[in-house]
Amino acid sequence: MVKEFNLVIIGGGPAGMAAALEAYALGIKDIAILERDDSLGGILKQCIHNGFGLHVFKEELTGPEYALRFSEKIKETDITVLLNTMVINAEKNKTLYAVNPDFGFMTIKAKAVVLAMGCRERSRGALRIPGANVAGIFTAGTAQRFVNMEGILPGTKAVILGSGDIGLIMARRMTLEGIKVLGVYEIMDYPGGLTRNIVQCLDDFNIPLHLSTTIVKIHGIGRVTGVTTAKVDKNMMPIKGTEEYVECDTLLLSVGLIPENELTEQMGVGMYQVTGGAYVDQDLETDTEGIFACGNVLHVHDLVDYVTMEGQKAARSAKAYIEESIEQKKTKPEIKVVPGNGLRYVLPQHIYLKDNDEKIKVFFRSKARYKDIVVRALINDEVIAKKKVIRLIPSEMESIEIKVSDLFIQTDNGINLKDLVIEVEQ
Amino acid sequence: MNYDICIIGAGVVGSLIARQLSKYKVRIAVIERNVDVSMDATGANSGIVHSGYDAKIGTKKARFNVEGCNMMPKLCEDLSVKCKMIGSFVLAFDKEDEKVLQQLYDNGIQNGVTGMAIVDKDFILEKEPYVNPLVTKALYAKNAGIVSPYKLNIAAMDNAIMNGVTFLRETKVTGIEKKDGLFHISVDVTGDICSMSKVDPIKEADRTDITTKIVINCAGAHADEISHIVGDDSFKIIPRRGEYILFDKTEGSRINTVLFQTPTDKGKGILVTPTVDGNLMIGPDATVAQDKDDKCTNSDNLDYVYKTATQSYTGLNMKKSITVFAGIRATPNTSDFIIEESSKCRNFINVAGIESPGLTASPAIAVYVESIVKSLVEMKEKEKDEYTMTVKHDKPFSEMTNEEKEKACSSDELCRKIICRCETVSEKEIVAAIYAPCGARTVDGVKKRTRAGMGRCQGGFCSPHVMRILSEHTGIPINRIAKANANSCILGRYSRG
Repeated sequence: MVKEFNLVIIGGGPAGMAAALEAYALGIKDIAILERDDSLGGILKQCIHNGFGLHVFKEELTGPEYALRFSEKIKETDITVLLNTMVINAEKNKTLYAVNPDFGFMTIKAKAVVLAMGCRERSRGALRIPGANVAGIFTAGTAQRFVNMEGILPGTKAVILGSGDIGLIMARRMTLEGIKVLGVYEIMDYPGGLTRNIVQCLDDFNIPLHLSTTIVKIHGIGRVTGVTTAKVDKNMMPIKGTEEYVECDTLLLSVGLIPENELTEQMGVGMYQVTGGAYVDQDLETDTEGIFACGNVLHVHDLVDYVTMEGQKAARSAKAYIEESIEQKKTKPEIKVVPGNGLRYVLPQHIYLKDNDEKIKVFFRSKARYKDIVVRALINDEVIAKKKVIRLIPSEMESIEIKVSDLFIQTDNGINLKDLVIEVEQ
Repeated sequence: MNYDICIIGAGVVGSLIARQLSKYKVRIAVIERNVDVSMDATGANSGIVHSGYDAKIGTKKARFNVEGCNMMPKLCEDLSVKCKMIGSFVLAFDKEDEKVLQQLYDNGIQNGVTGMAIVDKDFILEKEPYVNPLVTKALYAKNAGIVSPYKLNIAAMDNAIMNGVTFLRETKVTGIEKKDGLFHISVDVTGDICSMSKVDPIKEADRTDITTKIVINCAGAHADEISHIVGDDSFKIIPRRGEYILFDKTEGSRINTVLFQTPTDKGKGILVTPTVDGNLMIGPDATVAQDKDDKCTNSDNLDYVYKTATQSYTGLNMKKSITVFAGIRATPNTSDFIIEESSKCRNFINVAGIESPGLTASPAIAVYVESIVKSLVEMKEKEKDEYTMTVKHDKPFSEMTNEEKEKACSSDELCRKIICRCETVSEKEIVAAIYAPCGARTVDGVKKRTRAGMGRCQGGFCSPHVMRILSEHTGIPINRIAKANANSCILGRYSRG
């Protein structure tokens, strides 16, 4: 079966739903969302805690409530929602191959594609944690699914490795379900998750957070019976003599998220190594025309609100593409955006100088923790933007606004191209 | 229950012997302490079809390696198991290594290995661009390849069961007594997964009052203990652990052949190989294990595996590793395979010490054991239509062309539900794995048969779905669904409400 759409959005989580609604509001006809699960909402459906929507709705919602705000609206539109639909292959020419129970094998052709597949969790194997190959080891998100959606608990005594947000949320969640959470172990010397989650999920429940500490061995026969922890040195190598045995029957891993870009790569889209997502311009367009990316498949966000906004932006760009009003940008001068001192990555990674009045928000994450600093945008040795940041930490994304008119000036109207550097002022 | 032949251990050797004997009119039981086949040495094996140049001339290892290597492609075809004869290199980096190559070559000729050549650097680098460019020469063996050890094991047992063999899982031999020429085997039940399953549940009668005329000891690392029960202490098994690192399929596409380093007294060195499913794998090291069941990985050993592998192959990207695992090899203190009737106990056949190249040798070992059994008891072959030596499998969804996928989906609704995204496994394949003759009862069992959970997310996404399907079809409650044996249940109690 061949289906054709103007806009196909892969993934019906927060990014995909926001993109679909925005595209619909802008008047795009023939929009489809392809979602692998049996309902829209993505990972939000299992995030039953609150704290979502402070930016977008100016109120505090739970994950399912936040998702419902979008999925209910989608129901009122004629957006085609294909559930239980797995995209199994994709081509550069925006032909997708998918299967679902209603239509079987489908060939789906799109004028524009928005990638919104989200991310997956880093597994034990990827970390190569040595020890026994036993049951009782879960990624935090999988455990969250079991507890919140299937109503079954992973165990009775848990240790959490990594202080990513899902791990922190699960520390509280498991405690509320009567599971003893013995501690959270973080290899870095600072927590990986949001400060508010450290306070509300660990401190409030007297769950200890052990920084600069990792798990060096998993013990057990059949099922986890304990873990050996150890302090790490500056190079994150375990320090001999600091080993401690912790008895537990469950180990949760909250050690990082990996954008799920296998389809993106199948389509031949260029990737940006640092984020693990596509290499994009200010329109969130990848290096393959008509393919846009947003949400956690592009780079891992800390707040769903930002994911929503990114999805909306991708939809606006997709509309412009479908109406053939942005592709001429590729004839315009192009500037690379690079992370300078103190920063790990920037997004977008390149900017087309197409509109003198355009203002661009460049998002970034730092490599380390900073207090009371200035982040600046530098081109041609000229500072074109500055922003005071009271606290900059790797787990919280920040942004700085750039005026394209400044870029025109500094490059002699796009003749002498230089890189735009975003950096922490020394 | 009265049997004619009891095979202890359902690794690849025990299972292929069961299959080989299943064409005769005899009652056969395979007794396995684990919940599934392929849970010990076979399950964590390099999966290499060795050509046979390194086994010592005149040994059983040499004979069965070369014979088994020649038999493997046809056997795999018969059992619908993937086997790719991609060839292997033993890499030399200096004059000393080159001498070893010549010795291996000469040894191989004497063992009857064909298709060998000592090749130069250009030949190697043209075939394998990521080999360390310091390589000087290599022994190329055309007649070598890769096979999935557990897939071969599972298919062999499927075939045996199709021909009427009784597979007693979760059943551990605790005693063997011989009375009036008949063995009485006492067993312990090690778990309840297979009795709980409503798909082919274990019938208690099958493992009560077991008697048999012949015992074949294929108990791997524990074979010396089984042999001890009947008073034969002629050999010891020294368990040696080997650790492996498995990489994403993205990495497997850059390597075409099996890469060995020159062998040492500890074994064949660290190898770098593609797997039949397209991953890249490195390993194994060799350390003496204190406990025959200690399959823990250790960071020092994994570091050693990685560092040693980088000496022969420059294309490793540790960011792309997806899992690590360890296996126990059943190394005998006799230095050769032990495949014979025990001198201490009539009609008790030891098939022990089957370390590398045991997987390669296993098809030939099965045929040889058949001849031993025939020399001990009279067996009549079944009529042609009473047994089969082939197993047919549907093509995995992930390997179909778009046209084939479309056809499969139109005729079967379960094909339209993809459960494992990383490996594109449909619900149909998972259900088929459960209902197969030697069906999956656990999450790892599904993984080995279908590859669901074998990919880069390691079951993060699909394991809740796999557990649901297992529970729905076998009737085992979701909180009793295990990863491997019954002591490895994945979930705990239901939450409130």
